Amino acid sequence: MVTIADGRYDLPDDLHYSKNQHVYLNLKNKIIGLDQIGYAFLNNPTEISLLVENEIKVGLPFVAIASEQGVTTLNAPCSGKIDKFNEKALDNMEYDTYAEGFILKLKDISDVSPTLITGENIESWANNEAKTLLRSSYSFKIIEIGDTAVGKTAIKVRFTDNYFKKDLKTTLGVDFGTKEIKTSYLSTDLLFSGTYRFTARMNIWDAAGQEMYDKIRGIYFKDAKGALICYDINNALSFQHLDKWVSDLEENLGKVPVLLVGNKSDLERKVSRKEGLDYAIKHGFLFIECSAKTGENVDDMFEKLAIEIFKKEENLE
Amino acid sequence: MNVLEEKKEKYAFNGYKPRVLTEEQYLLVQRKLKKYMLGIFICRNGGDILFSYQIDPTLKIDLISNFIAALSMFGEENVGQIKRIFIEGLNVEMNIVSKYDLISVFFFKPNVVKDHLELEAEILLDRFYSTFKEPIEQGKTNLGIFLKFEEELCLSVLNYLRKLGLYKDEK
Repeated sequence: MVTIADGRYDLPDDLHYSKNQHVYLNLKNKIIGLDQIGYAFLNNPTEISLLVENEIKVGLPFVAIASEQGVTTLNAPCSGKIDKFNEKALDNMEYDTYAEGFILKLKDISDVSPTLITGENIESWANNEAKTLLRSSYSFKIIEIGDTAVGKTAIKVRFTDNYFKKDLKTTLGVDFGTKEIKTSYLSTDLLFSGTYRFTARMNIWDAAGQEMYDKIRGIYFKDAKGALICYDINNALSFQHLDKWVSDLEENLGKVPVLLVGNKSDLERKVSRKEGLDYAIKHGFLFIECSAKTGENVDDMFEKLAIEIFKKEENLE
Repeated sequence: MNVLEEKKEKYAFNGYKPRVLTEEQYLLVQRKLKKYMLGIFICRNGGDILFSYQIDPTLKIDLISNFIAALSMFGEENVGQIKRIFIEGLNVEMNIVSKYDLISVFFFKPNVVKDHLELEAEILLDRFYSTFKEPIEQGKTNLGIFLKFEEELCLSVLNYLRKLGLYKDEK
């Protein structure tokens, strides 16, 4: 038995595994299933259906599994006649994937795929896979700054609770909101070229914009992984004050992924999109215009920022 | 309890399987935790939770961690570092310990005996820091890194039960 990563995954070394799909083949018991890492990759599978009738053919899809991430088809690691399709596979897969959680039992086995691995080849492959899998759940603190009344709290409320409240009171000190998002990043990294799917708990710290909080605001920046600097596209003065917020951020937090946000895109424009974009490019920030009132681009902006933070955290830049 | 539920009991927390503890010890710890506690988390001073075990699903631990972090930051800036806070509410009691730029928070059911608890909470935080010193100092927030602390938590709880005389090692 090979125990992987932090001890959560076991892969019996007498089984054969298809490297790209984590399908295992137990030659002795003539069963096929999904190994523990494969199960974890699927993330809560909900439905399984057999795609063939009496036999499977090596390399061809034989089963479809629906999960939170969509539908995945698994390719057969060998050819053979089907003895039994385990309809309770999903019920047992999480805790008994190598015994009760198998997918197919075969009457006979032929044409085993030459790409399957077993024995001493399992550990390094599975460790690498498990490391990729472990990059899956994050907690990101985001600090939100900008002039008073540019709509920082409205953006936070729209994102966390999906509604717009017109007469929000001025924030005193700091306010919080939190929401979990699921997103992905398509990497062309040399070591891993593919899609990283991850979950990020976005902890939004909405800092008061009023001058009276200038002295204490900085203490709340601690450990923030990213920042939103907000202005109101209907209020040119809030755009002109951006330098103050940028220096405040650099002084208290240093270099982190920053998204420049032009809020109130539903109102008459006093700051052009080009002005905002040029400012963002000049400072190396991401840029987006949004409306907390209509919800336009609000979810997108947090997803964009989460991906930038993820790339920094995993050195994928 | 059906077979699957039994298996889930044994493989509790986040699917982490005990390696050092016996199954019996593990089940005992789980029973005790469920009886007396509502949850535990360890977060950075900045508020990001690194490790949590939530028993009562109604606790909004993500918001609570941010609130406690803000309180700690405000305290540090204005009145000095807050090392311990004890909050006694109607339905929950909280014991908060801060050390190494980390904060641990224990949520208890009201009126639970808390002898030796402060010391144990500090020992637990010491263990967490020594186990994950590098990723903590690098500012990592990938929760997968910290998951394996579940068994350390169980060992600490077992130790605490020993001190309270609620568990004796078999000879």
